[in-house]
Amino acid sequence: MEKIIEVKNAFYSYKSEDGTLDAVNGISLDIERGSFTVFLGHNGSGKSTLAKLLNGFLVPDSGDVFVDGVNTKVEERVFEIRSKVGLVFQNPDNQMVASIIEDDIAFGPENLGIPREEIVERVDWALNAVGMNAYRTHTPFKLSGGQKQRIAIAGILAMKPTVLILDESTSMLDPQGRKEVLETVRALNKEQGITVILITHYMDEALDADNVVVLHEGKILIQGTPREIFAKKELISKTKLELPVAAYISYRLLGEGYDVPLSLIDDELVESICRLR
Amino acid sequence: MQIEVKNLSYTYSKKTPYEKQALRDISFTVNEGEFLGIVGATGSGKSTLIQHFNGLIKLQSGQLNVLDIDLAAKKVDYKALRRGIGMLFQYPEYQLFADTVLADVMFGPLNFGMSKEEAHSSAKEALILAGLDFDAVKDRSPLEISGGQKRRAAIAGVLSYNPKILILDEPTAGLDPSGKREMLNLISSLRKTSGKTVIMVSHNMDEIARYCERVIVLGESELLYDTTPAELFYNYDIATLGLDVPHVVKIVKKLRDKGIDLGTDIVTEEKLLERLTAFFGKERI
Repeated sequence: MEKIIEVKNAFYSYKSEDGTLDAVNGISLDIERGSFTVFLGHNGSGKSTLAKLLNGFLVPDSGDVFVDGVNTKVEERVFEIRSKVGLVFQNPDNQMVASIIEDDIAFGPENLGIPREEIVERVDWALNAVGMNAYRTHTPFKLSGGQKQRIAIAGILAMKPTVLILDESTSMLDPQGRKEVLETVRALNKEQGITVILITHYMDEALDADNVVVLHEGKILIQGTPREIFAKKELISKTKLELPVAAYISYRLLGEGYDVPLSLIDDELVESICRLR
Repeated sequence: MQIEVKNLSYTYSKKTPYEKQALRDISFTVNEGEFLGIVGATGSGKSTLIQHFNGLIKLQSGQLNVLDIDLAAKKVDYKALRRGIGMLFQYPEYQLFADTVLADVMFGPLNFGMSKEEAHSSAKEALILAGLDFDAVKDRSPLEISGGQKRRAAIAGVLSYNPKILILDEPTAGLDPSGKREMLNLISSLRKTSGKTVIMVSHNMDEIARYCERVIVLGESELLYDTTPAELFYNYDIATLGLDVPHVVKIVKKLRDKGIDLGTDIVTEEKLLERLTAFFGKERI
């Protein structure tokens, strides 16, 4: 597989009057083109800082980040890098620029110099992808938090990024909205081949990722498939993250002496429990 | 009874093309010391409803009585009302504004007419109650402390004037799992030790299941159900309302379909484990 992003021994610290805060402490990581990667970690584990290093929003103090072979330190190419790697943040209010939704979505492609006809198509496509086409002529300011976030995601999609990074972008959505956005993101990954990096602390969002990266104190604690990750219960508990309910129940039953293997999803657990009869 | 809502309706942007009915004929009551959950999909009217309780939204039609204050009256003592209600909005840390954490928390008490000394001591008490190290945070800028600390400081700002009712709009949104747990344990212990009434709006059904005794469900601007979490999750189809069912309940229902009936009152992991070990106890190897 081809690497779309390469992180090589990257360090980054925030400096202020009170001293320095080491946010990323020597991370090396490859993101494969077309893959679905989840970054898991509690608040302050360095996952958001890492995300900002991936699109040149921040540049590592030492070490390197390459996007499609280009070092993010090369200032002349920073716009190219940022249009390749779209970042959706947690708070949609900080990401709205226009007073009409379709103008807001068009803002990105307009800045990229895309022809008008194509912008119209992209706006249409992006709004449909997040299920918000009915609102295209509304103002974003009257929308609920969840709807705003879908607009923010559409705004990034309209720039047709190669990599889409969602930094806790579902944390304010209701379950339905969260599901819709996750399904959208998965479809973008599977059908359009967009590389997705989902940053979350919802363990269940990691269950069907190709690769899960668990961050802790600015370092990669474990990396692997969801099953490999959740099999390392002791390491997970160190991160203050919570196991998916099915995994937790299966571990507890195993601890009680029942023959129940590690189950990641509800159906798997139910089957294992049925076998106990 | 601390809050009595009777036939309350509300329409946004009345008599304009943007007219939208947010609440339709809502009636329910809240009793002292209750832990009430309010759930509903985005846009179902939850925020509009709770903003009525401290007079941020003016009553349009129906009756509303909060802490013996009649909000339909011509003259409403909003100051007394707001002193009785601690309202914490979504992402309250964005509303911290003073130079220091202490000054921020003292703002409420000073506005409610406390002397500087009184305000200082209530703020101190509130910060400690909210689980913050008073000496470590009091002189720091609210912008400098961590996310979890900010949210605690925001809660302290509300606790500082000792309201009778706490209304929390998505108090754990954006926190990581341990932050969520700490926040809910804090709220739950505040309620137990001080007898405060707590009204919590949440999308997280696991939280509702674990902490609330009673839950009301809004959908399409109407009050659909007023019941217990267990009744709600086992007896009603809430998925069609865009609401999630807790994993534990999903697991119990799936087991029942396969002939393992554990009951219809299980909403927490602990209870599920208890029932499972009771069910399989004898056949254990």
